[in-house]
Amino acid sequence: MKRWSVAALAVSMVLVSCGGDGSSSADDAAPVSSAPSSVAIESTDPATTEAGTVAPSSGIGADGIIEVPAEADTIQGAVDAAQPGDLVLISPGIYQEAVDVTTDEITIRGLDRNTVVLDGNFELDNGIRVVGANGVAIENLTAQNFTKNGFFWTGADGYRGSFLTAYRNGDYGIYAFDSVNGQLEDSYGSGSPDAGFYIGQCFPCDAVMDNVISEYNGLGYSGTNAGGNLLIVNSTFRYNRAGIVPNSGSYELCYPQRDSTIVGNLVYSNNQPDTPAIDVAILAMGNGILSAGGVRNTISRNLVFDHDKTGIGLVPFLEEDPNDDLPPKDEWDVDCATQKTQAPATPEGGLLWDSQETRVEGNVVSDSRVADIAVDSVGADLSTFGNCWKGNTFATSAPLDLETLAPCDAPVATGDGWTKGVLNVVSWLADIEKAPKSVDYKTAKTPALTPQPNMPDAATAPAKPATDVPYQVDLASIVVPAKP
Amino acid sequence: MTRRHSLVLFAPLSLVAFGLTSGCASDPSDVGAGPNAGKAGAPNGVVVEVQALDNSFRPEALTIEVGTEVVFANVGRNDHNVIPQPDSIQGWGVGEAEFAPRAEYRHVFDSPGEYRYICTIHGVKGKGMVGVLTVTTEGES
Repeated sequence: MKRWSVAALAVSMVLVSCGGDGSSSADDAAPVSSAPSSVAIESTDPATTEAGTVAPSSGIGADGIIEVPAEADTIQGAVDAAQPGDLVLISPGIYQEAVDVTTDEITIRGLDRNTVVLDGNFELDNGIRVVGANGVAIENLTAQNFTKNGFFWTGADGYRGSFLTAYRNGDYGIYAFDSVNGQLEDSYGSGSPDAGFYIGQCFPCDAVMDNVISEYNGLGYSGTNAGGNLLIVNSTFRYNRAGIVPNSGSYELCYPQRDSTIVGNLVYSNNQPDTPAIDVAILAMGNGILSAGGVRNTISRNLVFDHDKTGIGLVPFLEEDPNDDLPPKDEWDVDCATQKTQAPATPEGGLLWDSQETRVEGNVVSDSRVADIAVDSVGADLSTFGNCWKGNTFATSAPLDLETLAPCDAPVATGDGWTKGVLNVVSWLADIEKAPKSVDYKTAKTPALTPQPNMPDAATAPAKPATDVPYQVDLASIVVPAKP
Repeated sequence: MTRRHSLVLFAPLSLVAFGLTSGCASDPSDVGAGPNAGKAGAPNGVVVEVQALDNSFRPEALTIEVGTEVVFANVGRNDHNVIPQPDSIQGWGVGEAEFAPRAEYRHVFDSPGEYRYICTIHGVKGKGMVGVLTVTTEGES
């Protein structure tokens, strides 16, 4: 690893991350105090009650279930009344609320995923935000038109999102930050400028993302500084600017990004020009699975096709204004909790986070306009990074003969083979100028929502707080998905 | 909104923080709203930095002496804000419109006390993206 001067890197690479919303936001002009606001129910039940209060009822929650709006006018009112173990059960309606959750181990569930809708009306910030509460499960509802995120967990030990729909939100769709022991499953994210799904700042994360669909976002998945028993499996990432993008950077804690396992996903056509997109999504555009400074990841048995740049690319991320030094390799195993206690070094210039020690095996990759599988850095010897490729089905690679140069479980080649047919990731910077600009998430031509599958037995299933997640995944049983 | 300056670091050992020399001149336009807005320029010559990363303040807790100028720097890629918690000392802080990535907000803390604050985008009272400044009279910290 090396340190570069900012000036020297001004024309060099780059990639990724998450974070800043490159598009305009409805709350750009928010006042200093911007506490979540609520509430007005547009219930499909004609007996709409007065907003903002919990309906007087001596038995509210006595059975462990708080019904909205029958027992509490608002979701926030029900959440505030809930005790650990309770179920907040929401009837169909449009709820103009930004809900904050600070109580452990409650379950929030819609009776119908498609008609229980939290709507931010491009004014409220997050649909449901879980802050420092452990074991909160959210199930079977939709969050749309929020200026920040549809569903957001932060600082949680135990979280689960199941059968969720996040649509047209101004930052992320479904966002798990600084949280561990999680499960995101059977969910859908569309129309966000950053990522439809995000898991970040955790190591070990001990989390699973299973059977989700992410489309028409800046990034399908972004995972800054996330890893350690983090599985992204059996999911579909399509029609985003870029598909699956794990990435490193010191603008969040717990760097570098490492030890994520990406298996059995369907990743295609991530060249979408008319989505909302943060700057790095524009930079990463046209790539299926792109490690931007990630290390020790496993990318296996994914079906990846139709990308303007790479199907599976391992590239560096330039951080021009870092907040710490690059962690040496012997610190990659330091857990997040420990790293948080360590004072940062004084950075002296930009950092180049290289993708290293990643295993790319058994993927089926095709129709990539630059290269199906690829690796690059800036002025470094690629043979020293410890990445390897094995058993992939592909037509093109950069450098040429990549599987021969760096086969897994065999010695890496040295010599000038690494200089033939290289990726030249620096040239991507020039492509930014030509790339389609971000489209405001509020007005982007994100396809209208179609009905999404409901969770079984939403009305009768008992509360199920996120105390038993992540669920076990039989990785060995996952095969390359069929082409749609 | 202003762009972040190039910062010269020093580290007061008692602070375990990211200190700045007072050579970083204050610009009244850097500060946000509130009755004390514009009180920049450290009377005691000490300037320290609190970073707003995505999504945490670093350091989260800091003890300073009266007259210290604190520079809150958004070094993340997300929007943030710095808002006094409702039951804490008011009259300072910056909203997200003035605190986008690369922006900074400066304030001189000239009264002793405990200043608890929050990024309301990424935290709630006492949880998530929160921080506290303990301002002591001279010689106490």
